[in-house]
Amino acid sequence: MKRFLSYRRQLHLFLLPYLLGSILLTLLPALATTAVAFTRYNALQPPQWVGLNNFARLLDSPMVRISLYSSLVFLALAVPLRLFAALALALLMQQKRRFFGFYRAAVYLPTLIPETAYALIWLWIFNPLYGPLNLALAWLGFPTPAWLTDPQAARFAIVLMLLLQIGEGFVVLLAGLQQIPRAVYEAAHVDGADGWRSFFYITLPLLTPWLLLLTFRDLIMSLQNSFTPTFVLTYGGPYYATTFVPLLVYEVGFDLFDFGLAAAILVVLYLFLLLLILGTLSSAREVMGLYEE
Amino acid sequence: MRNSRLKTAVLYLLGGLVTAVFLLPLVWATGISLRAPGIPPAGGGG
Repeated sequence: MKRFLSYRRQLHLFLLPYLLGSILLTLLPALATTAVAFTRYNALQPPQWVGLNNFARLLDSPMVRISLYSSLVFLALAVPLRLFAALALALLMQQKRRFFGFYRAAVYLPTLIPETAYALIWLWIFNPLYGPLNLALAWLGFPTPAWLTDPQAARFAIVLMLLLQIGEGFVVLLAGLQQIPRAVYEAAHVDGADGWRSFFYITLPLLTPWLLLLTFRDLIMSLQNSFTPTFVLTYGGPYYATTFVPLLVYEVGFDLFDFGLAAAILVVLYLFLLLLILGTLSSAREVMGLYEE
Repeated sequence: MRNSRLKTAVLYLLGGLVTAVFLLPLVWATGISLRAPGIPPAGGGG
């Protein structure tokens, strides 16, 4: 019997909802944002074309500079830490032993909590007087930082709470680890490679594509995911230490009704992330080239 | 033999610790929400 649709067509059909969603919810708004970036628009009067004026204002604004700097510091801390944690946990939890299924589920669980609820939980945890984190630190004899009122500590607090939401990277790396054939390790073992060597010469090179994918994803997602925590926990404070770009865009757009400038900041963010990703890609190519030799 | 037992013990200990770190905030929040009248105000913010 002839099939109604070929396999390829079926695949395309399954992809269609996602493609439509991406176009309608991501691509079109991104294009509209780019158009708004060249206008003066306050949502009451029709937009007026102002050319590159918004970008000139953006370059002059100290707020944008502070925000970009804060975001960069945040990304430089959060992305490597999140990737490292996901990799370490995936390596630890790939065991097929009793209870490890439960352990894996526990690691994934915080990722499933709705963002605002999760941020509220951490608002309690970071409470300098009643919060369990400072109680535990005091009990252990460590200094107890004023988490959300000290600029450095506040930035780190956001990193810390996002560090427990690494379920997706963790699952991707678990899948990546399972794809590495046992035979490769056995051959290495016969050749006398111990645990660390087989990690550096087999596991890491074979996981590089997955790690690369997660780096790109995390560069984009970490900044986006920082919106709810910074909005709920600190509202950009103290001293703008946690005013990362998404929060700044929100403030400029919805507090100041300066949608043109907000859109211009977003366009700069797109370009900024694009450069960051291209930079990571070219350095990763070098690393992959080293492995291939 | 002893070595592999030690390794198993360390693996379980590490796994348990990680699990505790990931679950405690949620368990603690659940506990807090169950004894609602006594909770301190969720102040903070800058």
